[in-house]
Amino acid sequence: MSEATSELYSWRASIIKKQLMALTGLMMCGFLLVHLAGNLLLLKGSDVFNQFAYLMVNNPIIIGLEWLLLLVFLMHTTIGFRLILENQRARTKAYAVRSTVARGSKFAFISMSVTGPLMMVFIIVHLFDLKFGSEYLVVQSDLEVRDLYRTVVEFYSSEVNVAIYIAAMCATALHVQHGFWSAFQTFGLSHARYNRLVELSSDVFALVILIGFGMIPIYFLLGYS
Amino acid sequence: MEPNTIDPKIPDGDLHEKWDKHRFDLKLVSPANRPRYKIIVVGTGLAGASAAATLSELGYQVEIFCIQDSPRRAHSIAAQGGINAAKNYPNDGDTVWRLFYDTLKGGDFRAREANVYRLAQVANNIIDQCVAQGVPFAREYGGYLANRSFGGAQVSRTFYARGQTGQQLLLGAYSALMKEVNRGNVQIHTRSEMVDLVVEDGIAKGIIVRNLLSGEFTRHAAHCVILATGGYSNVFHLSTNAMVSNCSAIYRAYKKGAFFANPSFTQIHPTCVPRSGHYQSKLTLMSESLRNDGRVWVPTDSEDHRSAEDIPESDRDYFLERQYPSFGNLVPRDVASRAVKNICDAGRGVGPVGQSVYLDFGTAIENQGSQVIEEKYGNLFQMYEEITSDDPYRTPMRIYPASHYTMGGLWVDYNLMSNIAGLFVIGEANFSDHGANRLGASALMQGLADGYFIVPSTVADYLAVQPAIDLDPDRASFRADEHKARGCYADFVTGKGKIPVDDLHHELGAIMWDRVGMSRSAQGLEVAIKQIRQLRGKYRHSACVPGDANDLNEQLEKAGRIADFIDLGELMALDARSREESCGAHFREEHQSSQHEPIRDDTHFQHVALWEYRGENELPEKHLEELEFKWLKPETRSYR
Amino acid sequence: MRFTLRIWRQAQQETTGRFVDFAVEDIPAEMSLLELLDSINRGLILESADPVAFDHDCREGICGMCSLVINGRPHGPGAGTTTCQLYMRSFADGETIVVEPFRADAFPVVKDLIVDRSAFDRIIAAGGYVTVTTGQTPEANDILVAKENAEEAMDAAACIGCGACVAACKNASAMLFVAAKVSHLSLLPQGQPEKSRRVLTMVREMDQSGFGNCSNEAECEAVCPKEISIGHIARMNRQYLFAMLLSGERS
Repeated sequence: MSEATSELYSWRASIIKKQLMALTGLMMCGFLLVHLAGNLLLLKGSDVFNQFAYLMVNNPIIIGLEWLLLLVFLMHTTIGFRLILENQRARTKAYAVRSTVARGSKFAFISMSVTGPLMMVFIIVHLFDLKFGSEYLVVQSDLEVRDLYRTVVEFYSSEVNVAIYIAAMCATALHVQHGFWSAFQTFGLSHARYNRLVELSSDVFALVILIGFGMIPIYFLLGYS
Repeated sequence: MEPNTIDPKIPDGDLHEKWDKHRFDLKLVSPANRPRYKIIVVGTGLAGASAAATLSELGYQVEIFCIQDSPRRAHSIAAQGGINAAKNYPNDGDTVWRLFYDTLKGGDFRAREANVYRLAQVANNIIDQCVAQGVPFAREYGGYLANRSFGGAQVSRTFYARGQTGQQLLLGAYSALMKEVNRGNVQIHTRSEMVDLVVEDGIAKGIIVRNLLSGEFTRHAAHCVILATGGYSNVFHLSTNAMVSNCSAIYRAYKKGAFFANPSFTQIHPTCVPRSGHYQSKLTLMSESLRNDGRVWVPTDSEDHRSAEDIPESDRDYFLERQYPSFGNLVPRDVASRAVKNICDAGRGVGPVGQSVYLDFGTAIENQGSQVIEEKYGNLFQMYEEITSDDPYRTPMRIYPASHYTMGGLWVDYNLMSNIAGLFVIGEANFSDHGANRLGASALMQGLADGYFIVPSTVADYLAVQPAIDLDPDRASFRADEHKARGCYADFVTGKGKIPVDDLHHELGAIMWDRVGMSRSAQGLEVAIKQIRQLRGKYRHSACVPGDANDLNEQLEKAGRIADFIDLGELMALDARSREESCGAHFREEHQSSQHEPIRDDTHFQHVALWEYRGENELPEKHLEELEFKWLKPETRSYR
Repeated sequence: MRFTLRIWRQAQQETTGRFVDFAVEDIPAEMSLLELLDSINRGLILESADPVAFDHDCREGICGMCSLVINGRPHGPGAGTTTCQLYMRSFADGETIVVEPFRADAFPVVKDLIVDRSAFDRIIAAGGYVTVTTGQTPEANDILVAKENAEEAMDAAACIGCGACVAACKNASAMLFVAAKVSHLSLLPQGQPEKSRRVLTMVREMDQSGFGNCSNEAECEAVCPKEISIGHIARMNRQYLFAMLLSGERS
């Protein structure tokens, strides 16, 4: 294995793949927060929310960011699937008995490789349900805008839709609870004095995502619109 | 018949200058010629790995063999305490001369002056070398190296890496070796056991190797062979050595004509975790430092079966303090070990099999507080509790001596070459530097001195006059030795015996421990020799080795090793019988004072006993190397 | 005590293996698990059957030779110990104990419970050292090392190369093993000159050996007999990124 036949480093190195996962993951965490902030406007009523939605889809910067987000999403999923395959290949013969005790024990049934693909399916469905869902128009302040508020309210009037959504948010919370902390570890941002803080932030972040996103459909389901 | 005297080829001149002068006199091999020479190294412990790495750095082709799955697992890894060097960092008066003096005196004046002095000289270079490799030695807050004191010395000269010094030094040597593997200059053969040495006209030409996974035999030729295969404490069955540690490489070299020197010099360590039953496979050593605060005792009445805490002071016999009032519990290893064994043999031992004595920290905890004791011995107490599930803070520890180092080994001259030309022997496998007793923290020093600094120079002197001809491992001598080895292993599996070889090892261990262990007598040795011969017969007829010779077969590996242990056991007993004095770890009951002090006989036994193999049913022939002490006058050890 | 040992038997790398049960009785609690295997083997030898092959050597927890996954956990229950330091008193009377080899495609089974861990040697050979030749050294005290760095380096250097980290990882990743060596040497001044090169070459060799990727689940840390922290993995991750982005190392 001489230097000539093999590059000293590679963009395909395991650590780099993990770091790309961490980077894209953190970027999507940022998106989640912005998305959550937007969702909370639903509580302010249809005018405010529809205005916001109109501004978002007509701002060239936001449109640019949307394409970036798509790229980030595609990277995260492609590398993610590659990692799943590689990891399966690393142990083709399973243990008869396996007991886990560390962080793995919390994820024994719901690990990143399970929550990840679930989230991917949900995100695609979610886009078709809402972003590309039923289009209503409404005139607000002399401007004809899409009544996305109505689309949302209609969608969450179904118990089944709400149940699926809440389940997806549970998966998301689990995913980010490990992913957020994990990204710091993967970039080497680890120090005995601050590790606990990062882990705590990770837990808080997951809870914010779960409660923040989860409460809105329940709010609508209960008829507060 | 008067024994022959063998010349160790010690260079002339002042003791201080011998090694430097000798290095100048040694012939060299030019850098351009070195790649034309091939060197075989057997064993990857401190000595083997360091020698192979250094020789490869110099440009020789190196092939190295080990029986474990990786060179990093050699038993040097288990050494705990530390490594000595006369750096005098603590400014407490240490010098090369003092290290030389302590080592020679510790060996009870049965080692070669010139060798021991050279060892003390190069010890400092070892520390430099290991630090440069990144060995994480203990440090002071200022970033400088820390030292601690160790048995047998009044200065702090021991360098250490927690309780894992051997591991760290071995990993240093292993990493140096792997660096050379990466350069493509060293070829490693793991799970490979040397089964014979090929000798042509008194010159070592190569080795025959059995692959432990496939059972395949291969022939390897080289311009010289270096054995670094460690010691033979497992002749006692239970010892602190690893399970695969064995004597076969050096014993088979002995059968090919190499002299075996002082085989009876074996060291017993007094503070080991005792045996809990017949099934026990291994004894674990605990640092001797425990005796600084622990008090050794047994119940006065051998029928006293109360648990230790319930026995009042008045019913306890602190026998070391009673027998050795001035040194008490701190008498040297050999003295403490013998006293413990005598008490147990007299039926006064404690524990499930009556083979242990109490080491009590009650007084120390009372006087110093349990926190101080925890700071000093916390990890040892924890280790003890892990093994025995007893808490030494509450119940006294139980200890028993165990065999853990062999000073004897193949004879080598000043150049570390045996009497077979081209066969070098380094580390514990040779007999050279520790005389009749080794001091703590000196084994690591010797292994690395031999490997890094001595053998790389002396090998050149030998190779310089050898033609760098192409090597042919298909020659008749190689084929014949391979054929013989193959037949020997095939015979083991075709035997129709009923006794597992482990059981025979057990029996050998009992004989050796009782009569060729830490206390020996002419009469006992006679009995032992007879018993060992009977055992050999039993082995031939009754050993049972299941399975196939062409497969991974641990029983077959053991069969070969135990056969050699039985033969070596007899050689040890013969050597012990012929050395009619008490010196160092060798204690002859006939040669003690009325106070049970050993009596050394410098008039008749100031020599190394060399044994030459004469054939299967012949007694070996004894030769002598007279020891001369020009620089230090032998004195008597006394610990009362 | 009484136990049933369910042991993995596999004649060769190529053959398929299976579990075989061994019922044992009158086992003293002070016996170690490896001694129990010895005694099972003694029974097999007396029946002229093939004894169970397993790796072991020093039997005091330092050589790294012993392996085994016991009831789903490498080196069995108990923290900071190896299989050879496991005593039968750690199990309940009457328990069925499942004994499997370390499973990872980078550690193929050789026979029964023995696996081939030579990938670890190759990783060390790729760069797990300070390139210094014998004699080419300054006086030892010319190299100063802060005490806390020496201590932390020692924490990492304590690795015995047993491979339990790989066995415990759900992805069979060798990150803890590699990180322990990278971290040990990078904490010391002696390791600085080739710090970047070392992490690049060792990780490359690790990847080529077929180990999985790290998922930061810390199972490795939990089973490590020397309790080596995944903080060392973080240090290696950081160093790899810097080496790739900033170092002058070229292929």
